[in-house]
Amino acid sequence: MNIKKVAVRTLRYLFLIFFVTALLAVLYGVKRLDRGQHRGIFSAEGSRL
Amino acid sequence: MKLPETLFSRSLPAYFPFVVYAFDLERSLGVALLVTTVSWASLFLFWFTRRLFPERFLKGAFFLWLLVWAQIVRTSLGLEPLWVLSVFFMTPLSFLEKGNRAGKVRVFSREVPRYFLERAVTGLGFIVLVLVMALVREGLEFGGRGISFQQPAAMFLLIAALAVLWKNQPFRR
Repeated sequence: MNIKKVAVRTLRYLFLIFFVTALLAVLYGVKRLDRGQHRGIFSAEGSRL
Repeated sequence: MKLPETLFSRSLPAYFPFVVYAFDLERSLGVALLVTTVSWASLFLFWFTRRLFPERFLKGAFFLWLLVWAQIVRTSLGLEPLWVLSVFFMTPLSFLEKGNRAGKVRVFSREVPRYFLERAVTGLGFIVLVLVMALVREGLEFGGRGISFQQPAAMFLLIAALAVLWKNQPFRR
């Protein structure tokens, strides 16, 4: 197999792993900041229902 | 110039989650701005990084991106994640597939600004659509006589009327 192809594929998978890890890290960070109080501007008490 | 029907056909399914949200004018507009911003951000990010992903996981990465956004907004703003459906309908996924016309356009080419401009206009059109619908919904808040514009069916009636008007818009020179 062409070594260039293998290198490109490996780099692409590394980028995918980086992307997924970054997203999960952001998600974890937001969850840590949340204190379980859903008082956002769109929460239930803010709507008509 | 006649406004192309593709602009409307993309905005229409994107509006459906707004039928379910029982929000007033300001909140509807807020969600519309959020949808458009995330849609533009998704397009921008994935247009320039699409070649960096393994091809078979590109769409999966896009869906994960949407799910993460849904969770972030749910946690921070308390908005239930239906709006992500709007982002999904607003963002053109065709460029994520190599076989499609948009997928064949090179990442940096002269066609890119025109492509992005079209998507920007679609986003602005979506905001206007949400604004018009919310204004009509607020304006037609009268009870009695067996009519209520607060139910989703009324929104469908308005959407149908808009679609007919859009389809039959007069040509301008």
